[in-house]
Amino acid sequence: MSVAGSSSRVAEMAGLRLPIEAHVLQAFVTEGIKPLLDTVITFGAGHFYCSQSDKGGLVFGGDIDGYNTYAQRGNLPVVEDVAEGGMALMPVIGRLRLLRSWGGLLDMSMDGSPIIDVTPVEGLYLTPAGAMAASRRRPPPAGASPISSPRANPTLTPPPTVSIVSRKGASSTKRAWARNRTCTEGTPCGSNALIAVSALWKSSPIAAMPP
Amino acid sequence: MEEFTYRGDATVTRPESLDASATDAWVDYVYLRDNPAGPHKEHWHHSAGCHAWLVVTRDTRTHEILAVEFAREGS
Repeated sequence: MSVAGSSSRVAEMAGLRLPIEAHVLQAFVTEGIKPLLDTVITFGAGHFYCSQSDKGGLVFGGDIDGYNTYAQRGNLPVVEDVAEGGMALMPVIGRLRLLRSWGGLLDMSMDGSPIIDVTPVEGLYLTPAGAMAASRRRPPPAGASPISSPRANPTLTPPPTVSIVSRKGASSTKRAWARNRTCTEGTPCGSNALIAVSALWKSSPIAAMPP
Repeated sequence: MEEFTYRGDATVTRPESLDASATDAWVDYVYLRDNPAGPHKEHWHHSAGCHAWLVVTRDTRTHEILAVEFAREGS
């Protein structure tokens, strides 16, 4: 399952309830300038990160707005917080004009750790969901983890059938504390906190489910 | 500084028991969420005001506030 911002709603169709909340993360882009940054920089004393696009604009952001939302727009307190972080880290950013900003949904796990997991529904995998944008615990992008690409490597076997994901009405033994098992060294840990994931082991597991 | 601070889902209840038998209830309380796209009951703290705890019903699609009550009187 790879449905940024809609993990809970799609999972509900399969009778699953996830340890996930939908939040909005804002992003900002400035006018184009000459080469300034050749990498992504982050602010250790607050929530701020910045990189430069190929077209020259600085692309930056900070913390999530902090409340559950499916509205893809942010509020001003976080704009202020991001601007403060940017000015503290690289005052040159105060000379630039902002071209645009927007908000996108993140499916956040309750403790900020990524989730890559099997579910109680055969053939349905959740990988990976949710991590803080400023966290070092970022999930691998969809399609990059071994779990999400079983066909690319048929020798891989599914992980043990324990899951923190609960199925409504299912035995409580299907829940467990197993988390992050597959986010090990060697796994490409990825580009941003975009959600998650997933991969369908078979072609149409939801349609194949009994009613 | 924001006047009101979001303090999470107001529909979950903290288990009374600390026994191992309550593990499932604790997993539900700490991790599992309905995460609705629509009306959502949530705690807000008037942190830069009177420090009241509120239960706010808010539409997560539009941010429209549908109802507000004191947490001690509601749910």
